[in-house]
Amino acid sequence: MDKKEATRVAVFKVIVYIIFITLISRIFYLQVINGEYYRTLAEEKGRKFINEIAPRGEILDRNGQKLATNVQSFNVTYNNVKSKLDNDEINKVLLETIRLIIKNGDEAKINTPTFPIVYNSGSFYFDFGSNDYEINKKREKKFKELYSLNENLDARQTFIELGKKFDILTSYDKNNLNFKYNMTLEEALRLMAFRHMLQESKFSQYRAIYIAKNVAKKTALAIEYYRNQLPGILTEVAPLRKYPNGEVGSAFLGYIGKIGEEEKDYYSSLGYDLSRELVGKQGLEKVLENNKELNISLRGEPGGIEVDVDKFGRIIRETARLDSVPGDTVVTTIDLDLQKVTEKALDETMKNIRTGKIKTDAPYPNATIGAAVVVDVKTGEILALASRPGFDPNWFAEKGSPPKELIDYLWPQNGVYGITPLPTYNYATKGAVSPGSTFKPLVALMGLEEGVITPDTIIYDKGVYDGLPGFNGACWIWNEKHRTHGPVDVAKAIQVSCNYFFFEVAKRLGKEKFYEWANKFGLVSDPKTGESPNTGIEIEESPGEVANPQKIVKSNVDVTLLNIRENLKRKYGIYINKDTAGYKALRNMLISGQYDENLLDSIGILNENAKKYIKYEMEYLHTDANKLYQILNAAIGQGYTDLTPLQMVSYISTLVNGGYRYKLHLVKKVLNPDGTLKYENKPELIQKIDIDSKYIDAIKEGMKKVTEEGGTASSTFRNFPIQTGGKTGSASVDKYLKSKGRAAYGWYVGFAPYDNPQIAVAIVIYNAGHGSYAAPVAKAIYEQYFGLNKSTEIQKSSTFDH
Amino acid sequence: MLSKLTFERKILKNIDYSIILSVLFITLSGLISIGAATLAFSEGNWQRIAFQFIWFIISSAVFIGVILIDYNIIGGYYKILYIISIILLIAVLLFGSVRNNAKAWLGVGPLGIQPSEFAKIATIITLAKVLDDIDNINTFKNLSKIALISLIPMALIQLQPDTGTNLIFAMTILGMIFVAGLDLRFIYWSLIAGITSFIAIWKLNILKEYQKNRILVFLRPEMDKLGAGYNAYLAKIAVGSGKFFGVGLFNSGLTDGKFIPEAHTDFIFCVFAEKFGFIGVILLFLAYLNIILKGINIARTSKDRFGMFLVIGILSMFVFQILQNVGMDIGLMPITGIPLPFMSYGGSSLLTNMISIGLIVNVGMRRQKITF
Repeated sequence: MDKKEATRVAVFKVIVYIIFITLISRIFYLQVINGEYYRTLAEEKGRKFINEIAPRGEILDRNGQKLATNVQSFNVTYNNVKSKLDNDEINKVLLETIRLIIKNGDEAKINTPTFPIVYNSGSFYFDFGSNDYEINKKREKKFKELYSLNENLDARQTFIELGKKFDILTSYDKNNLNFKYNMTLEEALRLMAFRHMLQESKFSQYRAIYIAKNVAKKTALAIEYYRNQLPGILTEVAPLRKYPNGEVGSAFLGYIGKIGEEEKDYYSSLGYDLSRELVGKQGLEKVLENNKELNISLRGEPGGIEVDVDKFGRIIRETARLDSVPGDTVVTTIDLDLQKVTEKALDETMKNIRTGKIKTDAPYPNATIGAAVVVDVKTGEILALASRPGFDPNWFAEKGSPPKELIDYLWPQNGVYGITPLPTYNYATKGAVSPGSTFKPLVALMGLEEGVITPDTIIYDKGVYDGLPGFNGACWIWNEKHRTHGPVDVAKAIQVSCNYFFFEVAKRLGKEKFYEWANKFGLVSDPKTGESPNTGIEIEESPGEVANPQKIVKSNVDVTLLNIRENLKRKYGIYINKDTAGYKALRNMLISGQYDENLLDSIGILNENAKKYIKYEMEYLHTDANKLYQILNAAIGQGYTDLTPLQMVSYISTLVNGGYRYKLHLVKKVLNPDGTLKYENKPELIQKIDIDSKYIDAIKEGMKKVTEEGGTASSTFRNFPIQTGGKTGSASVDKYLKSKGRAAYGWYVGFAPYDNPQIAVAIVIYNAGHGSYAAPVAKAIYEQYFGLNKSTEIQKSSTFDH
Repeated sequence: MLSKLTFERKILKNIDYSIILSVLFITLSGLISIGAATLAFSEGNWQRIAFQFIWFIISSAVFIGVILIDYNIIGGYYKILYIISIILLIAVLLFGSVRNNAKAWLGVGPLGIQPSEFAKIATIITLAKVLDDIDNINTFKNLSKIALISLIPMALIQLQPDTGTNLIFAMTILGMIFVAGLDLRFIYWSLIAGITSFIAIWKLNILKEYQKNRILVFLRPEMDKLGAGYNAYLAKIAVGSGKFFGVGLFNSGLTDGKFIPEAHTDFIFCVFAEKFGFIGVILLFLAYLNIILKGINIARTSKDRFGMFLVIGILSMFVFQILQNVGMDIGLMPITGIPLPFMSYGGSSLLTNMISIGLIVNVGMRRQKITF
């Protein structure tokens, strides 16, 4: 070895050191510095949890009667992990299972995996489930890529290719397709859909797929009997949600369904099994699904097995087993018997109105929608809450979506707003409509409390109101019969529903006091903070508001904008096209009321006169919304006043109980799975409103008179054994809507008994014509609640008075 | 013949037993890691571990055979060895079976052999012999001769194709001619040529699509976590998840979940690093370093230049295989199918490595007597 070589060997040694130092530094970085991070990543990769869904918590009424419970059901599942069957064997097992299920009469229970090829009247079609062409194209591409198919194949060619791939097809030509095992085309399609489902879940093979859900016991036994011939097929016993009372209570119970695309991230973060678990989609089922705030979980804690899986998702070993914890039992404030009566009374009353049984000369055929709420005025407990027509939550419970034939009924595509009922829409908590005269008692209270009237103040009804220039509202009696009520005091005004009286009271009150009081009762946003009103109910509500100026602006802005665009076009040749950025900017400026000249310049409105004109229109929009006449209209429950039955019952309850605005609530208590008490919902005050009891008495007196001779609800409550108070409301609709078949909303709000009120009710029937027509529902509720007579037949009223 | 086999007993004491102990340690680590990767301990799949053990016994016998014969006698047969390796490389192209996209195997199953492994040894011996013969490597004639000897087996290997093995081939030869005194200008030039040809190869589509992907993914691993980059990504997670003390041999991790393909061969280091952690890796590296540093000493003290080049060639091969194999598991090198010496499952590789180590020990025990 010469000197040069010796040097080179030394250099070689240095290189070796460099290499090893590099490697060890990098490994030190990975294992020691970032080890924790990689350990977590690794564990997530290889460890999976197979949920064993816990029985969902029961929902009971206040007396322990079941509103929602669980029954044992049998599901048929398939998993190819252990048996490792080949193409043909899988087909055989699946086909025989399907045939066995059909033979036992459970065809309807067979799962329908989403599969894009359909066969209809002699031809194959693609159906990728979207109305959007682009989305369908994308899905088609993805689907074909999954099977490495040429993307130009049509539906039939694709079917043939898959038929070959899955070994379903024996031969085919232009006209004929022949399948293995004497399969019909339908069977082949069904089989292919399941094969596709398996293909899609290729990377999570530790999970079984559903072949059928909730099959009859007989079917399950038949499958068990042939189990040796059906490797991979299993029957599992699983809890199935059951609503023993069918439609009763659907408005607040809601329903459960498959986890939707937009909910996937949320539920996946909570550890839900997205493909198998059903979650609450509405009502109590939704809000109590997994409510961290209230610490209530209907879902419970799923048990199951923790397994290590390989990269194909096949189970390597079981590492732990966990028992499931059933969901919480929720005892509601609902009285099931009262709920039944309420729904039945609503249905029958609506039917009577439609068929003319209530007012024979003029039936209102479109009295199709109704809602009613009953609350305990001393606690805010909701005793009954109905929105009719409803739905049977059992329709959703099995598969997570209703049968196809019911979809049009549940979610009508083409209907007339306010006439075609939306059965899944909760009209009691979300249907904010004009309350009409039922709002008047509150205006009376405002007047008395603010001292603008006393119980003895007399106001002369002169027909057309003349107290506010430019406002020409009139009393209904003037409009209908050209008469006036003459001198009226507050009790009389309530009894005869005198508009004139309440116009005057509202005018005397002024806007500030009016909004302040409406806000106290939860009927308008907080004038200071802008916070929206709410009743406190656990389930979703969308409360309305009483003539909120901002809402008025928003309601009118589009008309204003239309005018502006017309004029700009005509006078200045400036075109502002709809839905452009300029259009939106202009609209936002109009809503905000902040004049912005730069903005107008930027959207091409440079003409000074045009600018002035826009400024004028904008100012008018805002001035008008803030004008005094708005609250005069609101005082009679018209104009821009929309409230939900829930808000109405809250206000009546608060009024008659002396000013205690309780949180309306549905949850009375929550029980642990073992039956012990987990949580009890105590009545909770939102606000104590200071009201002088003598004013309450004056208003109650007026409301009592409504039910007595001469009152608008007298015919219903004639000879009623208990004294009650109430108020009818007939919120009229405009001519345009009338031409569409709409008619006045019929409202009835009431409380009983008169002396010591226990319950308050609010009822609305759409297109009922008159508020008095809704009163029989209240009567049926009182009869049930006070146990007056067991017959719930609704009295037919032959006469009617205002 | 027999006289050649007899040797002085005293050279036995020249055997560096620490090298043999290191090899035993690494091979044992390999056997355990193979067992973990193939679920021998959890599911009783002892087959692979058993085959590897049998190969180890065979290789050990061969090792003893190799150290008994003076390396100069073995070197004397270099032409025959070289020609046999070329014939085997041609045979594999004609009759070989395809595994992992490459036609690199003769025979089937665990008894299959990879001629390219033996070609490495044959070429190292041949080159060492040639380098021993020439005085100045930096002549056109000599360099052409070296290039010809190297490129014939490399071309045949590229036809399989097995770019990974060729990479090691190239680095091994580079190590040898570097020590032989290659003018550094050639190294610079070849670097430039290398880069140019890389671009050319890339553009001319000589590399297979999967090879291109591997390189692309190596350069930008975030590119595709589910496609070609997935293995690199998972390998890194597996190594990192070992932390300081490892997850433990009998605890499950990523490497026994088939998340990493070929965990018992190419990705064996992942398994070891995951199970035994940083502390295990340090011990393993010490064993490797012991072999290499002791090997360098043997090269320096070799009684002839042939012995030195032979040892340096083998060490180059080991070093770059370790760098490449470990490097790909920790995101330093692209993914290639190169085994980790003494660790990876595979008979040919183990046999070749044992022959190689035999040659190193052989040179070491017959070194010049150093008298103090």
